[in-house]
Amino acid sequence: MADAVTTGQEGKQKTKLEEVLEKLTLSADNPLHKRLIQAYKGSDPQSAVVSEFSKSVSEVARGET
Amino acid sequence: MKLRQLTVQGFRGFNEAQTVFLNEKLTLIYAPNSYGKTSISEALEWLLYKITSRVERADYSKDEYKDCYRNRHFPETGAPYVEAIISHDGKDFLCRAELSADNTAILYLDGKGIEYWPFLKGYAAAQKPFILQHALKNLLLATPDERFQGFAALLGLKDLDKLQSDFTSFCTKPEVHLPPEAVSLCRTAEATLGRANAQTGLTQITKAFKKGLPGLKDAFAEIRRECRDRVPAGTTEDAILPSLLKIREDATAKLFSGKVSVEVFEEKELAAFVTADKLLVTTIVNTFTKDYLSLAGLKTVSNIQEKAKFFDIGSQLLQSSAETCPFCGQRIDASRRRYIEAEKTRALADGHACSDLLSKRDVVLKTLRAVKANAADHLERHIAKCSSVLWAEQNLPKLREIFGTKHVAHYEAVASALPKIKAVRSQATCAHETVRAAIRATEETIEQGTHDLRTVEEVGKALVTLAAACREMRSLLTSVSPALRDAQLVLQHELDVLAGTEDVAVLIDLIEKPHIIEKHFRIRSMLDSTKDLRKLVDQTIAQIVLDAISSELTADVMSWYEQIRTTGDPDVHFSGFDMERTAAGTLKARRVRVNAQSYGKDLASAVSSLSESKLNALGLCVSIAANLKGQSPYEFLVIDDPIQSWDAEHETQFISVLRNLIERGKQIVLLSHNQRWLEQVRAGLRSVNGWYYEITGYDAKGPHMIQIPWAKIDERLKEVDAITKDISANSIRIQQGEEEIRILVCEVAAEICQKVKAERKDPNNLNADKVRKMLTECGVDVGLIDRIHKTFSTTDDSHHAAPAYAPNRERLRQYQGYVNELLLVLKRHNESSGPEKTPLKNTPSAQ
Repeated sequence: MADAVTTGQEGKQKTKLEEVLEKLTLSADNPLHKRLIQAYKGSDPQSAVVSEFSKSVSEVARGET
Repeated sequence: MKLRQLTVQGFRGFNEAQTVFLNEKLTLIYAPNSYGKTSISEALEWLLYKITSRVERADYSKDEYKDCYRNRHFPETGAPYVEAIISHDGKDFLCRAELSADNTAILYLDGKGIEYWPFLKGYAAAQKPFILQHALKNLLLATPDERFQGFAALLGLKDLDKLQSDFTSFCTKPEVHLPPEAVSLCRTAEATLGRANAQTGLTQITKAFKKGLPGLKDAFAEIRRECRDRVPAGTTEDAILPSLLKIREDATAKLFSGKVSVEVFEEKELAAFVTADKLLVTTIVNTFTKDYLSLAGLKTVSNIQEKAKFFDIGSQLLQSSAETCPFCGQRIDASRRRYIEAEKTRALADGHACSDLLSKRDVVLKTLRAVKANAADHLERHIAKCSSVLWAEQNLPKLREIFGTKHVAHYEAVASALPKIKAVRSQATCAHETVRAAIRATEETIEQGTHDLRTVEEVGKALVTLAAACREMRSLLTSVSPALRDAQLVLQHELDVLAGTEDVAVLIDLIEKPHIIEKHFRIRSMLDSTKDLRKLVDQTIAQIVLDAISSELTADVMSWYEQIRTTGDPDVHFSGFDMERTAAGTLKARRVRVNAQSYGKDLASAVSSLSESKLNALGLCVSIAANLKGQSPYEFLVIDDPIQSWDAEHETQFISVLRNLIERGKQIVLLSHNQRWLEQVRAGLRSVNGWYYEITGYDAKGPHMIQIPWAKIDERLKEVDAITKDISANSIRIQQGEEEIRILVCEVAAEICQKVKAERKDPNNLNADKVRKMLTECGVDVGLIDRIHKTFSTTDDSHHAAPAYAPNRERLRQYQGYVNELLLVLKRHNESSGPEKTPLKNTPSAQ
């Protein structure tokens, strides 16, 4: 129905969720974790994470990384 | 935003349309149980959010909640709706939600369809302005996870609740999300590693592997070392694998040589075979038949060519002997010569046409040869897949011995597959022989010029049969392939055991698959790392929730809780919120703890220690605190049955909470089934001058709602009298007196109207102009009407004082006199007493 609550930060409007995801990304040491946290978005964020994980594993299985 | 009025029709307990006017400070609604009281709060919830919390909690997909919004008695042709006048930023908006046939809400703002309420944009996380009795205890007496969800919702952290749930769900079983290629890769690697693990001679390798990805380098160094120990000295790096293979093959070949597996059809290969099947048949069916038929003309080619030759020679001879035939000596006249020349020209043209036909014949023969070659190749490629296993047929007794009783199932798999494979291969070979024979027959008809379409049909049929046989062969080989592959692995293993080459076999496997092993460990590491990811998300969100609940929320809740507790209460109380911790002191995910103390001593928890009434009070305080916290567009609060299971003292205490909320600017809509308590609220908050409704009955048309005056006219008069006589009354008191006067004027005017015109007007909805009009219509003296009108001059229709307003005791006395005059008018009309309680229903004029 409406947007999430936003908080002002450096002139940008960020939702609480965006703030936490940013914090998690900064806290994560593992590149895979950063990638999965950053994938958490869209209308079905959980599926987006799963999809990103499968993609990362496929890259390893195919020797792309 | 505040609520001015609410109209409900066909929704929940409301069948016929009813309107409730809402006081800007406090509206009380009393109803016995099941009289439709909660339908009012649900109507508002549905209007604002398109769903009620009851349905939201119960999962809308459940059948029992399907179609629950529509009143069962409401006509099927009508559209149930909820409509409210909402005051926002100094403007009034007509907000309407209509229930569609598919149970969704269609919104209209001032008559225009909209997707969402613009004044709620940006406030999705704002606490809903509803404190519903059924939700209070649910917050506390819930499973830990539900309690966490409840607090997250209260704190506007629903998104974080979902974030954590999503990552927990993902990290709990990440392996289920592996793509098929990774699953297959890991399975292969694990089989090899398992075999390596079983080799006592390779312990250094397996030790290194046990360290996971970090041990991989050491593991491969160990593998190289072990390999070198087994090959002749001086073997180059490149020659190590061939050397090991030879060592193994030499050793195992003494026992058995050959394979029992079939070559697997890859997906792409299968697709190519299907295309090849089709191509075999279509080559014959499409162009070939047409070309073949056109060759029928070849029968006459030699005749035509001979005729042309004959005429050509004759023509040449005629040039030397023009008047006599060179062959028969007959005399040739001019007309016959012309005839001969014409025939010669035609014969030469026919000869040219024949050479085209001959070219076509070459093409047809070439096509036949190509079909023959393709058919042979097609069959050969199928047979190649199973040739090795068929060879094993000659060695079945030896195989049985090697498999032994331990692996008899594998032996039987091979033994039972062999005749089937042999049968399909034989079928395909026969079909191929038929193809060859049919093609040969067709070639002969071309060579002999005895064209017969039936031979081509035979070729087509034979090719179809061959394609079907090959298809059947593929199907069989694909179905037996897994069992034969397993049998082959067991056979190879048994041979290695018998030949003493198990370790060599493992080493071969390891050096043949270094990339698979490495990828397996990398994937394993990715899977393992999700535990750390989960921990990171858990701890981060737990800390955010802890910060929110332990600081501000605890203090806010405590301050409201202090207002409810009574002096006689035993000192057993809520003492704050916390998150549960592990023995190591780290926060437990999704575990909100509600603390309580008894006379200074910590209790196990509030949930297990506090009485139901205190938990109820605590839930209420949490909801109130959450409602006042953070950014919110709502300046109203709907409270439904808040005082269940409370004693009289606590009920009284809660009235001061209501006053506090009103003083903070909250518009309160309070619903209760406790009439006695609402009377108490009305008396306790007398000066608030709210509005009071009672639902006195309920039937298929809906609730019977009436409005009760907040205070009796006598009470108001006494209040005004007391203020005018109180020389210490300050400006606030005097202003309150003026408010009482205006309420009195409206109520008395409405009474007069009722007596004179038998029309009920809502006194809460009157203003100066409406009062003037009413009194004029009732024949009240014009001078008195002017004086009465004057009482409205210092405030607006909502009784708000103008900026320049200054309270004046003398003016209040004058107003008191005007009201007394109006009361005399009422008294004159009051010979017959009217109903004290008037239903709100069917009173359009009330607006």
